[in-house]
Amino acid sequence: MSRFHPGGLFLAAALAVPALAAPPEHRLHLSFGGGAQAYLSNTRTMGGVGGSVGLKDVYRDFLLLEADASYLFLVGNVFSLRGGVGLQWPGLYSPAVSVNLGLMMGDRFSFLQPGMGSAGPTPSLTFGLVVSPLRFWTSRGIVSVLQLGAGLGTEFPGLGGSIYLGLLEISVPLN
Amino acid sequence: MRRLLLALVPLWGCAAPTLVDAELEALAVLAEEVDGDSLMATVTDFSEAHRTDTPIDCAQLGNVIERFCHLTRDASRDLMRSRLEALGYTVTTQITEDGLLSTTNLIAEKTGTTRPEEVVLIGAHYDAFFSGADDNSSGVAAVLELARLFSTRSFDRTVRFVGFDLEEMGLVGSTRYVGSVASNEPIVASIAFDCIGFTHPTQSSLPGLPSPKEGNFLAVIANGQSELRAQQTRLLNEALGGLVPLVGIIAPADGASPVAGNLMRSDHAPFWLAGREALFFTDTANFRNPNYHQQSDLPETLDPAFLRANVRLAAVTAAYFAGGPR
Repeated sequence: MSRFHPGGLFLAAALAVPALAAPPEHRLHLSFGGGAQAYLSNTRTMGGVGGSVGLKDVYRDFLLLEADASYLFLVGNVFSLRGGVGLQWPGLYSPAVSVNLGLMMGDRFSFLQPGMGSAGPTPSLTFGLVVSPLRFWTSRGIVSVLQLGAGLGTEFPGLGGSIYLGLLEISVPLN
Repeated sequence: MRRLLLALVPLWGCAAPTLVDAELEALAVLAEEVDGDSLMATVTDFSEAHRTDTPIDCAQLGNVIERFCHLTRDASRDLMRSRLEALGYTVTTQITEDGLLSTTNLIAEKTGTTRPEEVVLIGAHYDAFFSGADDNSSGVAAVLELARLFSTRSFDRTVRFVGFDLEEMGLVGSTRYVGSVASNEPIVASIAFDCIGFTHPTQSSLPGLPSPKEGNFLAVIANGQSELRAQQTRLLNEALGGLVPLVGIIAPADGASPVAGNLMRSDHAPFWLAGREALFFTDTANFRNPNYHQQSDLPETLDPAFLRANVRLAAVTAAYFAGGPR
C-alpha cells in the first residue's frame, strides 16, 4: 500500500508554477502611506501624524522586505525611519506581519523627572511588530487600510515604547 | 523648512548644560531668606482682597460660564501696587481701555548694574475667581517675595516685576504686555507663576505627559527656546540640595503645537508666541487641585512648606538669570 505524503503534492504544485507563469522572485514596490506614530518614555514623547514613502520587496510572494521614511507633524517636526522583514499571506487577501527597527528624530516633549536623566537630543530607537490585517494584493499593487504596531526601545535610563497606526498604504509595483 | 532641517540634525555628543558663574553660596543665602510666614500672610491678604472685592460685571459678557461672575481684580491690583511701593519700587502701569476687557498691568523694576538694558521678567496674574488662594494669590506672593529679597541686592541685569491683569479671561493682560514690548528689547528670561502652593497625595496626568504619582512637585514648563533656562533651573535645584521636587516639561519648538494646549494656559504663552523665552512655574492646578476655580480655593488648603520651597527655587533661579546677587 502506497503512502500519501501531503508534502509531495505541495512540491509538485510548486514545481509546476514556474512552468505556467514564471513570476519574478522579487516584486519591488514603491509605497505611500499615512498614519500616526508615537514614541513615549519617562523622558520624552515624540511622534505625530503624517505621511511616508518607502520601498517594499515581496520575495517569492510571501516574504516582505520593507523600509520607509515618514515626516510627522502635530508635535513639531519629526522624521521617522523604519526597516523590517515580514511575511504575507499569498493571494488577493494578503494580511501581513512584520518585525521592524524604527528610528525617530526631531522635535519632542522632554521631561526632567526627579532621579532621572534627560533624554537628550539623540533619536529614539525601537524594535517592534506591525500587523496588517486588512491588506489586499494584486498584480497592480498592494492596498493596506489598517496597520497596527507596537515596539519597545531602550531609553537611557529606562524603557520606551512606540505605537504605530497606519490608516492607508498603497504600494505600486516597480517591476 | 529650515526648522525641519534643524530638527533633523543629529546632536549626539551635544554638551550638557552647565551653570556659568553661579554664586552658589550667595544663592543659598538668598534662598534661606525666603520667609514662609510672610508668603502665607500675603496669600491670605490677597485672598481676602478678592473675597471682599466687587466682581466684574459679568452681565456684560452675555451668557457666560458662571464663575466669571466671581472674577475680581481691582482690590488685588491696588494691594499689589501698594506692596511694591512699600518696598521702594516705582510702579508704572500699562493701561489698555477696552470696555470690560480693559486691563492694567503693573510694572516695577530693579535696574541692573552692568547690563541694565537686559531684562529678567518675573510675573504673575493678580485677577482671580472667588478667593483665589492658589490661583493666583500664591503666584502674586512669589512675585512680591522676590521683589522684597531683590530690593536690597544688586544684579547685573534689570529685574522687572509684572502683575498681569485678566489672565483668567484669556491671557489678556500678558498678551497686551508682550505686544507693547519693543521687539528689540532684550528680555533674556521670564518666569510666570500661576498656582504654586498646592500639594495632593495624587496627581493626574495626560497621555504623553508623564508625571510622578504624588502631586508634590513643582512643574517647570518651557518651550524649545527656553530649554536651557529649564535645565539651569534644574541644575540650581540640584546644586542647592534639592529645594523642591521638580518636574521639567519642555514643549517642542516654540511650544505652540496643537497637542501642547495644556502647557500654554498661563501668562508665559504670549511670550512663547512672540518668540521670547519664558518659564512657567506651576503646581499643575486642576491636575491635582480639586479647588481649582472654586469657592474652596482658600489659603488653608495650601501647603506652606511647598509654597516656600517653590519660591526659594524661584528666587535663586531669577537671581542667577539676572546675574547676581552681587
